[in-house]
Amino acid sequence: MRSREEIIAWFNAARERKEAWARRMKAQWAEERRQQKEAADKHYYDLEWE
Amino acid sequence: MNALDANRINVNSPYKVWTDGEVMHFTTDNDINYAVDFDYDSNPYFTAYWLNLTNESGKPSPGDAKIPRTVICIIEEFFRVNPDIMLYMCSTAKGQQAQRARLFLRWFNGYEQQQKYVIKAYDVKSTDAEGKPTKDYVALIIQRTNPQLDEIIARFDSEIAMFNDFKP
Repeated sequence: MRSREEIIAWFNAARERKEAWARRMKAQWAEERRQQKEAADKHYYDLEWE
Repeated sequence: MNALDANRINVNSPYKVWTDGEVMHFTTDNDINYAVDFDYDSNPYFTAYWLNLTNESGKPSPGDAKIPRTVICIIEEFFRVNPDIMLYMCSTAKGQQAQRARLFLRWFNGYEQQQKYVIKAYDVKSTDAEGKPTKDYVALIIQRTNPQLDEIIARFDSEIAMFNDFKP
C-alpha cells in the first residue's frame, strides 16, 4: 500500500496536470475567439480612407 | 490509450463531437466550447485514466441537458476502446468541488445504462502543493465486467480510508 505522502503526491500531481490542461484549453479558446473577431472585423481594416 | 472514435460518439451524442487528435471538443447551443480529455494515471496498481472536463466560460450550464448526455457518450466510447479505470477529480476552482462532485454524480446516476458501471465517490482530506488543507472529491468508475473489479475497489477503499483516518 502506498504511504500517505505518496498518495498526497499522487493527488497533487493529478490536480496540477488537470489545472494546467484547463488553462491551456482556455488560452486556446481565447486565441480562437480573437482570430474569429479579427476575421469578422477584417472588412473594416480593408477600407481605404481617402 | 486507445484513440476514441468521434464518429461513433456522434451516433448518439446530441452535440457534434470532434477531436484534434488528443482532446475531444464540442460546442453548445449557447456557443460555449467544451473539452474532454483522458490523462494517464500514475498509480502503481492498475491502468487508469483521469477524466478532464472543462468549458470556456468556467460556469455551469444547468439548463442544458445535452451537455451531460454528450459527455456520457464520450465516456461510453472511452470504455468501449479502453476497458480500464476512469478517475475523476473535481476542480477546486472557487472552492466549488463539492457542488461539481454532486453534479457529476447526478449526471452518472441519471444515466440509463448505469448498471454497466460501478461508481465510487470519495472525499479525500488532503493538502495542496503549498501545504494548505484541502478537500478533493474523487470518483472511481469501472465497468462491472472488469475482471479485477473487486480488487480495484478494495484497493482504493483501503487507501482512501487509511488516508482519511490519518491523524497528524
